[in-house]
Amino acid sequence: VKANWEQLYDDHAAALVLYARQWLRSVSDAEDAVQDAFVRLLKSPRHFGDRPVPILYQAVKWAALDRLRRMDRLGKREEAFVDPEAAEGFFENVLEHEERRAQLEAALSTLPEAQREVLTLHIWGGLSFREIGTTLGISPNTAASRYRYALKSLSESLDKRELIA
Amino acid sequence: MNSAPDPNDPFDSLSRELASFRPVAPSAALKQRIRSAVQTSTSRPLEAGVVDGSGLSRARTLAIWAGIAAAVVMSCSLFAVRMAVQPTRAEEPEIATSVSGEEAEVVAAEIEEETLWFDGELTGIVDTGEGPPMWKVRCETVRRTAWSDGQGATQIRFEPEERLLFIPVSYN
Repeated sequence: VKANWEQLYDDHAAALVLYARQWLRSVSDAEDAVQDAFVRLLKSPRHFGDRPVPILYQAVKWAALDRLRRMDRLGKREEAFVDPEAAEGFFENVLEHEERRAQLEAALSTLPEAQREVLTLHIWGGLSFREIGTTLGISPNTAASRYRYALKSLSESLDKRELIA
Repeated sequence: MNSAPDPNDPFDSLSRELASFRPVAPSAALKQRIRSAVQTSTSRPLEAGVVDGSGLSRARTLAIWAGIAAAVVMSCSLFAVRMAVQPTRAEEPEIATSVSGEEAEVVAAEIEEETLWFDGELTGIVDTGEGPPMWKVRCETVRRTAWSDGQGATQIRFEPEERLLFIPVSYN
């Protein structure tokens, strides 16, 4: 794994940053969390095991929460809140889909944390429900349920936004 | 993620639409930062040490540390606990740390109490006091026993010969 970490990075860095931004608003904070996770795992490659991807996402979550707690301790927690109105976007801007992108980001921000992280891990991380279960310490069935609930909530939220628009 | 469309799945089109949006790519420098951090981080055995939040002079801190370490070793010889850590609040970064061994040095440290239980590892920030780089110190261990001294400080025990990882981080 240590020899192939750059491939892991290339395949997952963007999704890992997105995952970290569930807890950390700014891209730079999220990148720091990703750096922390990689460094930690590369210094202790035994933690990777034979299925490094779930471990990597798990490490990023720990690093992001760790950073959030530090901000909280220093009275800077508000800087870490995910606020799509004020923060940088989650997704790359494609001009013809800009309005839809904004709707999606706003709708994603309203999802409960447990649902949003399953959605992120499955859609953008490409993790199976079994791998998500390993990452989050839940059963694959629970992961699948949260994913369905997330899509349902997201669909309803997007429908409302379209009506308002 | 890339499975075939399921006509019975009412959310199939939504999941596909979501997947069509690509997360913002990290900055080009991140990969290099990780590479540099891994190459320059060091690991050293920790024989014994004390983190003292009193902000005392280095010499005095070392003297106190030696006394405390000796007392700890003697009183806890059964379990061979040879290190005590007493972090102070994060708002008081002037914490003197001593680490024994041939590369012994005294640095300032800030240890986050909240992280003590997190993933069973101790995470803190160590600053040499001479500007960047700052270092993150990690103790790759199992869950630690920690307790309060009743005055806002926290004590943590380490097993002997544990290794602390000193990892440079880019906090600016």
